[in-house]
Amino acid sequence: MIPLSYYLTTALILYVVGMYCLAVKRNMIKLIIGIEILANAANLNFIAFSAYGKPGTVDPLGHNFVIMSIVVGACVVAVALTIAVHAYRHYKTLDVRELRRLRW
Amino acid sequence: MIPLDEYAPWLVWLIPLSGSVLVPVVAAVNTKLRNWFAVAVSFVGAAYAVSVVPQVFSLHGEARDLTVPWIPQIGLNAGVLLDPLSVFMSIVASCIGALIMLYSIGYMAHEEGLTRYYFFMLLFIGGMNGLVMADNFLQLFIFWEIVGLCSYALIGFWYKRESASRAGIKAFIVTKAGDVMLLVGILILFSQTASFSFLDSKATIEAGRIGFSLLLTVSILVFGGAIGKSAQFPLQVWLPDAMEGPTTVSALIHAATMVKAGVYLTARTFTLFVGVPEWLNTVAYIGAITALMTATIAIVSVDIKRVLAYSTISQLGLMITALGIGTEAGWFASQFHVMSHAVFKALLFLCAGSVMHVVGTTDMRKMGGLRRYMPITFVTSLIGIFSLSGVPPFNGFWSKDLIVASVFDEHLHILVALVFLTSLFTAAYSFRWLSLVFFGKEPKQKEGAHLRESPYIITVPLIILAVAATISGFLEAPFSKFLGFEHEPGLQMVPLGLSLSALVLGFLPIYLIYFRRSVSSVQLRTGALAPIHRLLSEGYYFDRMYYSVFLNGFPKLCNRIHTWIEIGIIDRLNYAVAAGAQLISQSFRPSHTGNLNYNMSAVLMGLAGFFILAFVLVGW
Repeated sequence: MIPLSYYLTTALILYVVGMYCLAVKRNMIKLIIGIEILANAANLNFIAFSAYGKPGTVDPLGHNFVIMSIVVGACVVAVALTIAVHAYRHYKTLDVRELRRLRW
Repeated sequence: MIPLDEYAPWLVWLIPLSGSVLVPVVAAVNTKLRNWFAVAVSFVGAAYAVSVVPQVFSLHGEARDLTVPWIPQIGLNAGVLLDPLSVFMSIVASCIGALIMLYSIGYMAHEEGLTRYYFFMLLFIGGMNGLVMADNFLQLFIFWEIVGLCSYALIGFWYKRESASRAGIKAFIVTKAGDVMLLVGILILFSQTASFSFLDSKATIEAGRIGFSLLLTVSILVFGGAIGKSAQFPLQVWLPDAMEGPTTVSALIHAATMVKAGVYLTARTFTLFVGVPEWLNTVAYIGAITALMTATIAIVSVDIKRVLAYSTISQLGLMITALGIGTEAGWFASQFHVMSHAVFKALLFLCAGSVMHVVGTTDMRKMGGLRRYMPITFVTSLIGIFSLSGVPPFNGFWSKDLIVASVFDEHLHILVALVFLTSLFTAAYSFRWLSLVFFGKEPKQKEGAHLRESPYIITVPLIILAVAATISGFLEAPFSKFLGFEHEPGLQMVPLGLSLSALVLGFLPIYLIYFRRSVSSVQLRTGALAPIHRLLSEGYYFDRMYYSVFLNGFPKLCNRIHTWIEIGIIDRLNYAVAAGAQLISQSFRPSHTGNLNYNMSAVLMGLAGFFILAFVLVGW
């Protein structure tokens, strides 16, 4: 059986990849993809812990959370893409730095 | 057959109360019917009140308590107490009230809002009857408040006049000060005895189960309620202003209801608190001070009703004083004076109403010489004044003599002096009133106004009351038997001499000044006695004091507190916290660039730092 630390390491790598994406990309679509990667890192952790919590059993609660998270994530993507579309129509570009003027 | 005597003590107050509720219904049918309906209800109530008398005689001064469950969940009973005191007070309230209602038909004929008037008058009479018949403190307090509400509504009957509505509010607020004390006293007593009933409280107190200091507190607080209702010093200011209401209302308040409630309460709680000498002293001296003070104010008043108002307060003071002596004789004298006063004060007020009805003013300086035009009113007023000032053989003479005698018997010399001076001033202001209204030259009349006697509907109650004032003084022996006392009527030389000399000494200067006019009253008023005159006209500055302390001073104090504490401390603290938070947020604001990449790089750096820290501390 694959040890737990492998899963956690994979999740950490996914997290760092998502973070890197958020840190360096300026295209809004790419940022949305980065956010999804981050969410998946968290989901992977849930699954891993639910399988390794008690030997021989799988905790269904963790899976519930993940399903919930995926659903919410889909909604987040939908809203984020809508914002991106409208931002593009408004600014004629997808560069996120344009949105800086929304700052108070 | 229904045992009527079981129900009569209930019906005495239930009939006027339910009648009052029916007044608006009857008014919808016919307005004339409404007036006579209200009068009929009050007479039926009076008949029931009188019908209880044989029962009381059969009880021989014992109390009979009729109770029904009221709120059984907490063991609360409603009930009526059948004893000489309660029946006597309810007879006074309903009989005098009924006569006043009869008089109202003529006197109030041309007023607006008569449905309201008759409703509150009946409620007033019913409330007063309920108050005196109640067998426990809680019921008494409820009716006490009903009476207060009715007095407010009736004093401010002409609510379109600002002075009248203000007077109503003043009466309500000032008596409320006493009501609060009464309520606190009742609740303290309840917390000790676990019962509101008079008889239970009496038994508990007589068993000595209440500490002396607590009993003293309760007694003074309960007497505070009586001070408010009976307009005693220092809460006497509302009663003169209550003259803003219709004369019938003044007569009802002064003779039958409201102010007698305070005397009743003191007489009712007398048996409870008689063992507290401090209470007795307070009662006696407050009564005597009030009596003297207001009698002196009455001498300078020029309003025909205000003189009578001050005279009422003064006479109430005498009753309270007699109660405060703490003897059975004093108690009896006080109750006898209640009866006399009810009769002659109702008579005087109705006479004043009759005069005002004809003359159309309340200023006595614009009256005079009316004895030729209004013979019936004049003769009945004369009887009223004789009773008030204590001329034998009218009823005021007998009852006042009893008070003087009971004070004298206890050798309370200061009280004797105060009562003597009060009688002296009483004689003075009563004869001044008489001479200003009925003697002297009549003033110039306006075109078209003509002086004549009032109609029969007004004079008949006057005649009934005048007859009652003449003969009721001789009822001392049956009255004492009714109250269950072994009292031998008779006159003692020294008190009799005191009463008569006070009468003569009070009458003489008035005779010289107003009847003979050998001394000019104007010269006295503006000459040497000017400061005294001003002091008395201002009512010893009590009104001014209350206005400057409570009406102007209190809001001023609140303003100060608002400026210093609310604005100065609390608001300033608030602003300081807000300003500090803003300062901090402004100083960090430049770090918020709004560039997502910078922010996320910082997160990544934080993550890296966390791992480095973990490696260093934990190792791989």
